[in-house]
Amino acid sequence: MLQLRENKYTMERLSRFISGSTGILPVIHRLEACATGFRGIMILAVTILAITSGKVYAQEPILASALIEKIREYDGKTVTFQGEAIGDLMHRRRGIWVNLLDGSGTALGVWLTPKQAQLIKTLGSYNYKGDVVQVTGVFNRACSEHQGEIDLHAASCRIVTPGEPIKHPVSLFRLQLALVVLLLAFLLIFIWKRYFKPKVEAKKF
Amino acid sequence: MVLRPAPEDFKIIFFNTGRVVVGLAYLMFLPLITAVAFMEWAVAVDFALSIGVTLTIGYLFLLIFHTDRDPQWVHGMSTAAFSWLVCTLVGAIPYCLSGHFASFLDACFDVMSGYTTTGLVLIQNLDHVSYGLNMWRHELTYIGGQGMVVVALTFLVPGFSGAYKMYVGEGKDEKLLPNVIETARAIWLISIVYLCIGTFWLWVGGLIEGLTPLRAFFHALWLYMAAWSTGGFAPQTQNTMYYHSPLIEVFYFIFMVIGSLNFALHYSVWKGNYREVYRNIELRSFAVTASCAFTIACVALTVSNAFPDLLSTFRFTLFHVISAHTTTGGMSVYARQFITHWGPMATIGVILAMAVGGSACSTAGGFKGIRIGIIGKALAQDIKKLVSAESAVVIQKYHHIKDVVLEDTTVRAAALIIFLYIITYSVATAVGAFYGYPMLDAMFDAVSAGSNSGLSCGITAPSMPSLLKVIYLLAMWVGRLEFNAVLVLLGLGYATITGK
Repeated sequence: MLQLRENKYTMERLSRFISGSTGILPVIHRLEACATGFRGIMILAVTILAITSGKVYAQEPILASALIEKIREYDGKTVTFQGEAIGDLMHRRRGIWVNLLDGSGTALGVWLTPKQAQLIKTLGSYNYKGDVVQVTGVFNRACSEHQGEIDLHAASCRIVTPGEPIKHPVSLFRLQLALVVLLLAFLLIFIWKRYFKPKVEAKKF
Repeated sequence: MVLRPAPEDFKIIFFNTGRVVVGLAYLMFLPLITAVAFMEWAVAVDFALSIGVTLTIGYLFLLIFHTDRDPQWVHGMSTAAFSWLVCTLVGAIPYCLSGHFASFLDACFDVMSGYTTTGLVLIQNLDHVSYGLNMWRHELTYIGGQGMVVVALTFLVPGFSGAYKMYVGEGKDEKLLPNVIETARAIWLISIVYLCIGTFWLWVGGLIEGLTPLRAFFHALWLYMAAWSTGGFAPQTQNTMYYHSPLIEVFYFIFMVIGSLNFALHYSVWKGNYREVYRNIELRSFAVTASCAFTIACVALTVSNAFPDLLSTFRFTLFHVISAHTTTGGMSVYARQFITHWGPMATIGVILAMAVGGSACSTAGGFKGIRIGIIGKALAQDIKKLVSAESAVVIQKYHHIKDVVLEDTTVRAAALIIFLYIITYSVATAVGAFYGYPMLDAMFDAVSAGSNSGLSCGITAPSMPSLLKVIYLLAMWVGRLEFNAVLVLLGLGYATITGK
């Protein structure tokens, strides 16, 4: 249990270091101080183990489905997530919500600062493919700041691919077919009204 | 000896199905207008084509199978069941043309899910769906909630004496008013008034939470339609989670609860009989079963430390248990979270809530509160009989709009329908398990389909096996029509083959 706690503590420090949310010097000083004792050796060992075993989540963009599938494992970790900004930028008192749709078709809510949100110019909709945004930040399976929601608090944000309009050309074949079947339908309606329509009154149960 | 139905019997069924199909064609004008308003010309052409095809099919039914005979019970019930199948096929045309579905089966699945107010979806790339198609999706579920036959009776068919038989076939049997057309119109009056109120409050919620006024309006309208009809559709993939807003969840919650109540109860309250709210057996039953399901889920989530504090636990548990119980299917978590985050005990609480469902003669599915209430009363009656003197006559009553003496035939009918629901859930679960899904996952989506809830733990996806899609589609159909109409239709088919 103690080792697990140590591991989590080290991973959090490492994550913050990678994401750049804290400076490098305090981390080095802390590590140096710890290294004097057995506790410090353990932390260093765990850190090396974590790095060599590829548990640094913040390097490659991860899919939302992978985050949800291992939701407790990724909770509180710094991850990199990439997806198309869709729908709306929802301005709130302390930040802005945007939903990013990843390659697997799952969208994840990302909490941005106003400055980060300014980078997003195009939002995905029927008429537009939104900006593809890459964010690195802390993933929360149940965010205490947002009443238990699953979210990603962005530490950094960049536009990978700007959005663009989507063209929806009208199919000439469908248009012609529509005219034909509508004409046929009107003909049938005429025949029905002229020759068949029953004259009935509403009756009781 | 089984008598083979006469050709005239089929003419009556097909003729009245034609009426409902024509009604469906007229309903397609709303998404067409929406598409034109937003200059979505390709979508507008798709809907024009769909209207043309649907009108042609509908009027061909009317012309070819024209009859002046009034439907009897067998015709009315069969028409209700058959028209839902035909309307599923024609309603899928705009879906198929949109390019958002992998196959026609997927499109039919979503249409049936809409009509039956289930809310399970196989649509792809939902976040890039047009306003026109979104309007059609939500209109379908709104119409399905009231019942397509109700719609046809209200606006399109001038009236005929077989109307009540079709109305009952659609799973509704409350007589709010002496005339079936007037009853159908009363249902619509209630729905439209709530539509205005609900859309307004959800629009206000959307504005507060940062949506632009126009988008807030359409999202409010669609969310309201989904909540009231207990359909659970939403314009975005993330469902209600998209808004990251407890405020919108509160409004959504209120309207899904109201939508799951019996129309007779609404009408009674509408007429000033407020005491009905706490006397009605369905509401009492709902309170008991919802409390049980909520307690199971809440305790499980608290023990597993799924949420950071009690308020968050309360928020997510209450929303999803009530969403399941009202068979709405609105979700503010990911489907897979039920398995990976909530754990088995909380998930079982949600499954129980889905299985029980909302009120009879409402937009909800499941066993229905009144049947659970009746079974509970029958149990109480039996216990009273056991502890009473042998010569004592124990009479049990229940209150639903008026006091009703509990009779054995009522208990038998309620138990039989519950039994049929359990069979439906079991068959769909077994097919899911056959395809290798874990039992709990298979049970979750099977109960969701059969009870028309729409919550999913991740099985329902375009990649799921086609047979499972068909099984879920049929489960939605029989669950929504409460078996009677479907059994009559199947009986008619059997009599056609084996009858003399």
